[in-house]
Amino acid sequence: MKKSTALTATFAVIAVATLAGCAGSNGASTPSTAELDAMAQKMVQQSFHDKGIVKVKEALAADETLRDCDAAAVAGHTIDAATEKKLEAANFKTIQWPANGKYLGDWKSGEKIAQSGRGRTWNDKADSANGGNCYNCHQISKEEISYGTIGPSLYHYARLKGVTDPNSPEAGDRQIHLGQDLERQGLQRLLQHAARRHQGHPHAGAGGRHRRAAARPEIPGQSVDRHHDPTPSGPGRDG
Amino acid sequence: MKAHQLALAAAVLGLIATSVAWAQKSTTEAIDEYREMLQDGNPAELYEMKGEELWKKARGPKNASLEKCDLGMGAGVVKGAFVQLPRYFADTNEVQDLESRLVTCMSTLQGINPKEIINGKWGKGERANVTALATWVAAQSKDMKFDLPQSNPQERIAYEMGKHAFFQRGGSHDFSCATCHGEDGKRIRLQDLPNLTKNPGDGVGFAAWPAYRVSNGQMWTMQHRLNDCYRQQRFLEPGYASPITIALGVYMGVNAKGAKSAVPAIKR
Repeated sequence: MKKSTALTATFAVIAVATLAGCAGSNGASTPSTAELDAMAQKMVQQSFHDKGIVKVKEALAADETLRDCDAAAVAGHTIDAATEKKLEAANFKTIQWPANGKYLGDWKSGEKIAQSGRGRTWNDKADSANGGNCYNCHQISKEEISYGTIGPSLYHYARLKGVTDPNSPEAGDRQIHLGQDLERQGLQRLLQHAARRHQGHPHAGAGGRHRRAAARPEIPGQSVDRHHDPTPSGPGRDG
Repeated sequence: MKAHQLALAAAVLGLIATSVAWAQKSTTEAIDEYREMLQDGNPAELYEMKGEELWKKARGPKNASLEKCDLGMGAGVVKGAFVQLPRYFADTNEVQDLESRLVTCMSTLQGINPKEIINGKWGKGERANVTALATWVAAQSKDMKFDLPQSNPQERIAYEMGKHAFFQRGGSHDFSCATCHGEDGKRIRLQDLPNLTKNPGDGVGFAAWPAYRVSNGQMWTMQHRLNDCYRQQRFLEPGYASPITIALGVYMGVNAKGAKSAVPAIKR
C-alpha cells in the first residue's frame, strides 16, 4: 500500500504539473518522454521483489541493448541503423564459438534440449536443468506437431539454405547466411539465450550476469560462422 | 461441471496425446472440440456463488457487508463496473483495478487488513475471497463492452506506464510481454496468443480473466494471470496489486476498448 501510494504521489505531482503547464488548453498534454521513463523506472522498482533464484539485481541490471530496444518499442518505431549496428556488434562479441571448429553437435541431445521448456523461473532450483524452449516458438522436426510460431520454422532450415554437409568447410559460408537470416528476424539475442541455457553450468542461474554467458552454437540448424562480420540488417527488425 | 463431460474431455486429450500420427488440422479440431465441450459447464459458477455471498455477508472486524463498496459507478453499483476498470478513484487518489479496489473496500468497510491479502497466497484466506468476489463482480458485466475511462491525467499516465511495462525486456531470457503478445496469429506450442497491443477481439486477453483453469482446477484472476506470465517469462515476481500490475491492466483494458467481456471464462 505504501508503495502504491508513493507511485500515486508521483503520478499526482506530474499530473498537477501537466495541468498547470497547460491551463486553458484542457490539460491534454502528457509528460515528456524523460519524465515518463523516470516514472516507469520508479514503478518497476516499487513493483518487483526477489523470489527464489530470480533476483532484482540481476533481472533488472543495466543493459544498453535492452534500454535502447525497449525505448524504441515503447515509442513504436525501430532503432536507428547506427545504434542497431553498434548493439549488434557488441552482442556478437559475447558469443563463444566452438573451440574445435566443429559446428554440428549431437542432434539427439539437441532435440531433447529443444523439447524442454523448463528452468530458470522463480520456482526452479539453481541447479535444475534448463531447457532450450525451442519448440515453444519454432517448428524444428516434422514429427513434433506441437510447436509455436513466434519464430520462423527451422524445419529443413539448413537444407533450404543449401547446406549439404554441415561439417564441410563449404558449409561455413552458408552458415554466414543462416546467421544473417536469423538476425534479420531479430532473433540473434533470442538464439543466444536459447543456446546458452544448457551449458551444463550447474549454477549458471544463481549468480553473476548470465546474460553475458557464452552461447552454444552447435545446435543443428542454428550455427553461425565464427568469423561472421556483423552487417546491418534490414528494416522492420524489432531489435 | 458434469463429470462425464470432463471424463470425455480427458479422453479426447488422451487421444491427442497418443496419436501423434494425426494430421495437425484434425488435432487442432479435436482441441477446439474439447474447448467447446468445456463451455457447457463452467465451475466458475461456484466461485460466483461464493463471491456473491461474500459481497452481501457482514464480515470482518467491522462486521459489515461490501454492499456500499464503490467500484467506480457509485456505492453498491456492480453491473457494468468491471468493464471500466482499472480507473482512477478520488478517495484513494489511485488508479485501481478490480482486485485492488476490492481490497480497499474490504479494508475500509470491513476492517480487514490489506496486508493479509497483499502478502497472502493464491487460493488461500482473504486473497481467495478476493478471487471469488472478483469473479462474481466481473460476471455481472458479462457480454458488456470494455470502455475504460481515460479522462483523468493519472489514468492516462497509467496507460503510458503499462506500455513501458509491456515492452520491458528483462530476466534471464530477455523476454517482455510483447515477445509473446505483440503480434497477431502467434502461438506457444499449440496455445494461441492474443495480440494485446490492440483490441484482440471479444472474450480474449483482458476480456477473458478471471477464468477457471481446467488444467489445475483453479480460478484465476487477472492478477494471478499476470503473476504467472511473469514467472514463465523468467521475469521477477510482481507484488499483488503492485503499480506495474495495475498499469498493465490499464494498457490492456484501454487497448481492448469495444471488446465484449466473456468473464468468467474457462481455459484449458
